[in-house]
Amino acid sequence: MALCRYLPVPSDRMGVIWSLLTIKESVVLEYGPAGTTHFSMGLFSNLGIDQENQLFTTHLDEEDVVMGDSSRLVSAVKEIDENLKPKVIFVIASSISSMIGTDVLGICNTIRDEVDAKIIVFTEGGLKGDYSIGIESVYNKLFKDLPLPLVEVEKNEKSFNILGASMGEYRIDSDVEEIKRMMGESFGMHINCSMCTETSITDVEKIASADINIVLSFEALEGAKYLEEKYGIPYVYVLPYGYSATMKWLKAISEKLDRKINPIVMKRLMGKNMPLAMRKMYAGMMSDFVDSSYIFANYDKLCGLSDFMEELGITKNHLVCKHSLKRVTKLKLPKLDKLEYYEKEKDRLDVLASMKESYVLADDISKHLMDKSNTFVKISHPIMDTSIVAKHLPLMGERGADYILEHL
Amino acid sequence: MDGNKILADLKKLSEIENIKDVKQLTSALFPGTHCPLMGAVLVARGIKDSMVLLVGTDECAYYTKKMTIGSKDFGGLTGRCASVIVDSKDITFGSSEKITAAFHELIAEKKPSCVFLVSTCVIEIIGDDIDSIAYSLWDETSIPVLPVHTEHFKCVNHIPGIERTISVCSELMKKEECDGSVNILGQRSGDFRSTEVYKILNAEDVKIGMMLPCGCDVEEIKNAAKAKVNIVVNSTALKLAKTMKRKFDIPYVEFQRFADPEKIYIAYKLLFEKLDKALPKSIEEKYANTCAFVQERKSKLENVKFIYGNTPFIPFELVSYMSKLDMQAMLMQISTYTSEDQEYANTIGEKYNPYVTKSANIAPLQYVYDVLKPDLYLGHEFPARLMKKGIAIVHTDRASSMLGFEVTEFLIQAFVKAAAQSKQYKENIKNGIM
Repeated sequence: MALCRYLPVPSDRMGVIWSLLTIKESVVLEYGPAGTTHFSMGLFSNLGIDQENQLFTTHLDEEDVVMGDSSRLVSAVKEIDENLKPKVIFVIASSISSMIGTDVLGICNTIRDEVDAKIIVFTEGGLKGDYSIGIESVYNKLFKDLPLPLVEVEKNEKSFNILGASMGEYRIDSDVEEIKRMMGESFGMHINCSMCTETSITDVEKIASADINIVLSFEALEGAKYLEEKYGIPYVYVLPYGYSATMKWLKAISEKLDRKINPIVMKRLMGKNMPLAMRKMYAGMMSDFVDSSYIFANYDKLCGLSDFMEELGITKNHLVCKHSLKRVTKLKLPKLDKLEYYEKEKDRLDVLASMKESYVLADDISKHLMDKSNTFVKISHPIMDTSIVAKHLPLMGERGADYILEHL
Repeated sequence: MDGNKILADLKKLSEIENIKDVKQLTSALFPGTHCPLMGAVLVARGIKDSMVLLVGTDECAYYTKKMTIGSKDFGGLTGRCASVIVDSKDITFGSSEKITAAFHELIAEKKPSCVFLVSTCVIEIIGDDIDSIAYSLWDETSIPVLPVHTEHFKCVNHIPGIERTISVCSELMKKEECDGSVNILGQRSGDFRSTEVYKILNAEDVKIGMMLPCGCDVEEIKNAAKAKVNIVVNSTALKLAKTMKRKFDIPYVEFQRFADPEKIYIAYKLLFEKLDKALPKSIEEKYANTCAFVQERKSKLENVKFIYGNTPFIPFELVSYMSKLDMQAMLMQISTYTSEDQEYANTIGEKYNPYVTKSANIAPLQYVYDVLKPDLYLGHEFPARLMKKGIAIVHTDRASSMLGFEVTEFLIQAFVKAAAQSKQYKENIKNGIM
């Protein structure tokens, strides 16, 4: 079962790059063969990530590999610093530089004093694990290992940060917009910094000025804890999938901030949530009620959507995680016993193939491979058949619940 | 970025002796060249019943599969591209067992006529013997398994991947009795059947044999040695043509996508000589008509300045022909520089002395435009961005389906159109419209 027929799970390095590319005033410099950079453009464009003047490669040739010549890394860093004047240059190792043991961090250390930009090195060469590891590493590096000067600025009153929004997540732009809308309507709050969808080094530097961190994925949890310890910013890690979870999410924020929720919002959510109880009640009475699902997503979306499915009376769920559960296990996160992760593609496809007359909430590959008696709802990347245009069709929050319900 | 400073670091054509003299515009590249892995996949796309089994990191596998999912020729999602993902354990202990297991899964599910076992950078660094693995699997299963090495750190771009994949196909071929046909070697995009050369060969009752890599199957490759002549339409197939000459004594003619009608005329003459046929009158007529066509339009192109980027043509042949038309090359972007290029470079040098740089680094080009102020850009760039600088793009991708004098006429028309566009853009800028 060594064959990979379709798309493999993206690597740690891919997760690092697609996260960092969203941070303006910075440049991502890959220390590796140019072909990978060129090839990656298609994926990043699909994910809605702009690369112009932000992504560069040094390329590596045989002389660099055999003789260990790293001069092109040094000159590329200096050149970017002089020509583009970014605040930060993110240097990313490659599988080759990792394998031949190039001390990318050491090389960068020797030139730190010669450049104005701050250099932050990511040694993930694509061999340490999947994209989830890479995303977590971005938060840890930015906030902890190599801290930016998180400046002590004046409090940005009534503002919040989003941590853990990843461009690798389907409809993340819409999710972020929904969070902003709901925070505005519920608490009169506005966004301070959204990581890692659309932000800048300046925004990251001012991250400590917000009232609260809204954490959307476990990869950002350690970063949020660090910001709480160091700057006293509380965080809320509740995923708003479905109406009741959205209310729970708002209540958690309300408690942390000691601010009241706009009652109009709560009333509206309760109004939408009420009929779901009826739906669950009728579920047992209808012979053709679909009570099973296959959900293929990241950890947080899996947990959030499975709770929502249960509220709807869909109780027989295969919760298949896109990434390894090693970190989830280490962090002792909930629901671990209910999740499935298949290292071998074939095993996962066998589970999908076993699904009949069920809901399949997954990616486009699953849509093509599933039994046609299933009902499909797209919730994950990769997408093949469509492109993403809208920023008002979330999966999270009130509108996310509306959207999902309309498809079931 | 300072365009003058970037140019000051570059050498001019008269100073270039080999590719090492050609500098990058900058050390930090965007987007950089394509890798040979992509080249290998482009070739396999045209060989209908073959499969690609890629061995590499999940990143290499992801991007390659993503590319093939969108290709009907590859069969889309469930199509002819699969992979073996190498992890840190395989890097330490070797990937042979994993490849073997994956291969058996693959042939059980897909039943391919041939498998290209494509190694990537990681495999080449750890030194797994991909050739031995391929040949032992071939012996074991009787399904041809052809090893292709695509490490990018040993070559400049995707072209070696194309060349190696085409070349390794010779291992499928066996000695056959000649049936008087011609093979078309090296056409990877476009349909040879739509070209002028095909129409002329067809009119002369010359049978077309294998078209590798664009539009053939494994059986046709196996029977390729039936041909009387190989027509090499791209230099990536030259190695295969030479191998077939050595192994099967099949002569070859280089009939690449030349721009200069003189070169095209010579290629036709050589081809019919090898076919032991008289040169058809229609070729003489086409030659004369094309020369007249060019002459009528030449005045519109005189002193038009251009930057050469990336086209489906032979870079130096095209630029040397453009020099003959008094079109001035300001900057050439290239990835190789061969002894054949030297001859063309001499022709260019009689009139002009352009800067020369490595290709696939368009980010810093933006600053160079402001210094050189060209009228035209040949290759892929962002049209709106260039328009604001008064530069028109010459679109030449359609020429991939052309061969013969039709190429010259197409090019001249494209140049005339783009030169007029550039004038209009400059006028608009002057009038504050753009």
